[in-house]
Amino acid sequence: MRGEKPQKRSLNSISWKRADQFAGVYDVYAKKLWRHIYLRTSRQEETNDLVAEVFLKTWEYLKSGKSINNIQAFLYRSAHNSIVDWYRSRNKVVELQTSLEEGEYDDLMIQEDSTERILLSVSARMNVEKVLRQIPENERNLLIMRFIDELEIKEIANVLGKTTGAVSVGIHRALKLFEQNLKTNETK
Amino acid sequence: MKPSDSQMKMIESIQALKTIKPDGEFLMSFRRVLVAHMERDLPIAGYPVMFKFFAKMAMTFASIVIIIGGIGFSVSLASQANDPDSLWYKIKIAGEQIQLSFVEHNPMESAVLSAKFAQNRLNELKAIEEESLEPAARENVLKLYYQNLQYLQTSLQNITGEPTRQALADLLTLEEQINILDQTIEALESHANVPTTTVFQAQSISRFTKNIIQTVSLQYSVALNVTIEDQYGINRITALHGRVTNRFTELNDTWRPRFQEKVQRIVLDETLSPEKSETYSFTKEEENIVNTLNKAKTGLGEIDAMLQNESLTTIQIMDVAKTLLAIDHELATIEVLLK
Repeated sequence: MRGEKPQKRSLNSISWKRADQFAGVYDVYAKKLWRHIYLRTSRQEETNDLVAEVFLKTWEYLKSGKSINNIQAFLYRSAHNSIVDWYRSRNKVVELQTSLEEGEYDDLMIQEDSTERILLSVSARMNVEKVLRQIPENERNLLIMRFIDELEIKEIANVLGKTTGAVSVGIHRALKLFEQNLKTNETK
Repeated sequence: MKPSDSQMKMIESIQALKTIKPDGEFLMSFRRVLVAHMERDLPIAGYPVMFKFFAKMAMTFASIVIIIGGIGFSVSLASQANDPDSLWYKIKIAGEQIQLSFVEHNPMESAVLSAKFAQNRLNELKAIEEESLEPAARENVLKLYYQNLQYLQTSLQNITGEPTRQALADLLTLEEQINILDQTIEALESHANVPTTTVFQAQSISRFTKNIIQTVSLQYSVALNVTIEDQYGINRITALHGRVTNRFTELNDTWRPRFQEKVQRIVLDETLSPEKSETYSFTKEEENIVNTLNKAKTGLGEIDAMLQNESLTTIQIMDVAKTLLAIDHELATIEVLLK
């Protein structure tokens, strides 16, 4: 059809005039944001609340007549700020290991796969997730944004208000920290 | 720099976390909430027109009330008070619209009255469950609840003039009213028949309303030098800090590309004609923006650090509130420049 573009591309920017397309924005980003927030908070209930907060705040922002030029950056930035507030409101210093109880994974289903592979991947994932939680919040955030959310360096820099150089260095440092923790866990 | 093999393996192991599947049930149910929220908001642009329409309707229904009251039928109609499809309910809503029209000139009174009517809506929602009315009735009441709180928000935005102690007291009363709304919503939540989406919708709009009330009352407290103490005060300041930080980030993001472009131009011009270098500089307006953003960044960082401290004194809390409001005010000034 003439003028038809991939959904994500057509939703790069949005304003109140096109606010009826906001449900489409939700469809594109809700799952990604949920995963992003969950990996940073480790709490499913709170993740649900924060996802809702991010989208409702964005809606209110549009309602006030302002437009958003880069919806992806806006949503991630809003999620980042909400997570920071969440940590602050609960006086949470990054928790180490404490949240990794097996029960927490009961509700987290993984994608369709063979039973054997599922078991293997759950075990491996739990280990990776555990290690990821052991590194400081800022570094963890960089790894999640870069390798799970698959944001470009430029996009991460935009979300976090940093230079691309600082982000690149940060990711490099985060990978080193991750590697160190992975090794420490293996030797335990 | 190309990652080493071991780094590639690590990256792959991190990427495996993509298999975490989000809470699909929540995402679906929240989508419905969001769409309902959008549907309510989209046609609202002409609220004053709607208001005039309601006012006219109100006058018509008021006449009916007088006539019906005169011929003694009011008792039997009272049982229909919670059914949005009933004539009595429409009369009740029309009556509320009349009351609002009487205080239209006084935003604070309008806000207080709107909160009271919002409470009526929640009481009706409770009654709807008890009387087992149609689900459509619940939706209609919820829509009116939204309208009540939106009118409350608009009223607060229309408050003008110098802060007074009376206005501050009114705001605190208003906040107390919203707290009672929250308690009613909690009671609704425990009611098995009320869908989670209904509860969530009601909660989200009351949360936004409370944010506005808290910001305005904080401004009044600071302006009047009324001390705010305890955890309650800190929570309000933390919420305000989050909102001011968001404002800062948005402005910073708007400004940064323009700033970079200008710097590049200056560097290029200076290289090409060094003798004219002194003519290439930032305007006073641009300097103002840079200074304000830098100051805001430092200030917000310091406040962030202070808020980590659990044992803030009352004086410190007041200082934080004052600084935050000052930053917010300065950001508002450059927001105008940037637009």
